[in-house]
Amino acid sequence: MNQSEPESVEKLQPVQDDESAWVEKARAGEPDAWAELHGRYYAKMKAAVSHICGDESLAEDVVQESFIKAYRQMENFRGGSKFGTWLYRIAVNQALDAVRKRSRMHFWLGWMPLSGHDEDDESPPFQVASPEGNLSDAERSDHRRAIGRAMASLDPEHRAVVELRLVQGFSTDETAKILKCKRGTVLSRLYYSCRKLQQLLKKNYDEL
Amino acid sequence: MTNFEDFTRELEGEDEGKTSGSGLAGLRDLLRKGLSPEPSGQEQAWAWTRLQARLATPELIPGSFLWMRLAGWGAMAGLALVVGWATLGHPKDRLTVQVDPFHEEPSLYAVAFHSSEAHADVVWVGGYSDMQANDPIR
Repeated sequence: MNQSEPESVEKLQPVQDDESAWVEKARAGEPDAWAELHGRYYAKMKAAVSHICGDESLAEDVVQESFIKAYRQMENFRGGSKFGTWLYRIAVNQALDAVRKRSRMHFWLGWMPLSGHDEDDESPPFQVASPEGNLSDAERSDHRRAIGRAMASLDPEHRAVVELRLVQGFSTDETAKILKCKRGTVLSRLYYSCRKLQQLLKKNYDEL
Repeated sequence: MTNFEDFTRELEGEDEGKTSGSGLAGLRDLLRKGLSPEPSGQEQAWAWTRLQARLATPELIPGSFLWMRLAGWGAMAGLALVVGWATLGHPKDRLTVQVDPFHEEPSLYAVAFHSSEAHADVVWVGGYSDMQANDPIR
């Protein structure tokens, strides 16, 4: 890893030290190796998928299914890319599929009179943390709503780019690999998303 | 953020460790702080236990999955038949209109149906007109 990278990015990048040894052991089906890889990637993947889906319980299922898929398709991992990139690719694609399925289901349920959907629901669609430690509950709640709504205004593909490139700290090329799209597509999606997020959040945050 | 080229340059600059202090950096920090944090170790341990249980179960073979789906559709079709039978009744109970066998006599017609209440086939013949005793029989 580049030493000159900002500390926050460095912290978010998956550990790569002896990973190839663990990957080889995982390929051989050793449970300890899978426990190690799960320990390394679960938390970051869960957070990423949760931000893309906007739903904690859906994210749990998606991450679990992603690990199962990786376990059962381990022979397909040739080592051409980092294991983390391959694993994230599975998870992000599963997340995008899950969001599309959920949207289709909501579309059909929307036609039913007793769908249980409340248009006036004020709870944010995203699970968000409080950005500042010394804020009142009301201010925290405002922050949560603002960030949650801004993220929810993006479509899932754009959210995925923001999450991988900005929040998780993957490079543009890695993000393109994970999303199976061109570098230019990543940049244009990110540009569009950042502009939109800044417009939506500017009134709440001076630093933007 | 002014235009796409500036944005790309700023992004590449940040990759090289040049902190710009611009809107992009501010947005990134805000999202990192504001979006939900990573799950706790307890949740991770629970997820690993759950995953181990799933990995211990045999994988569903795609072929068997197809058969399961076909069996499911078959069961649904069977259920639809049973419900239809119960709701609409036996096809015999339905009113059936038969073609007039005496089509050369347009005023004469016959209707046949099965009455489930009477447990009998009923033939209803209509269109007769009064006949004089001295009319010739055709």
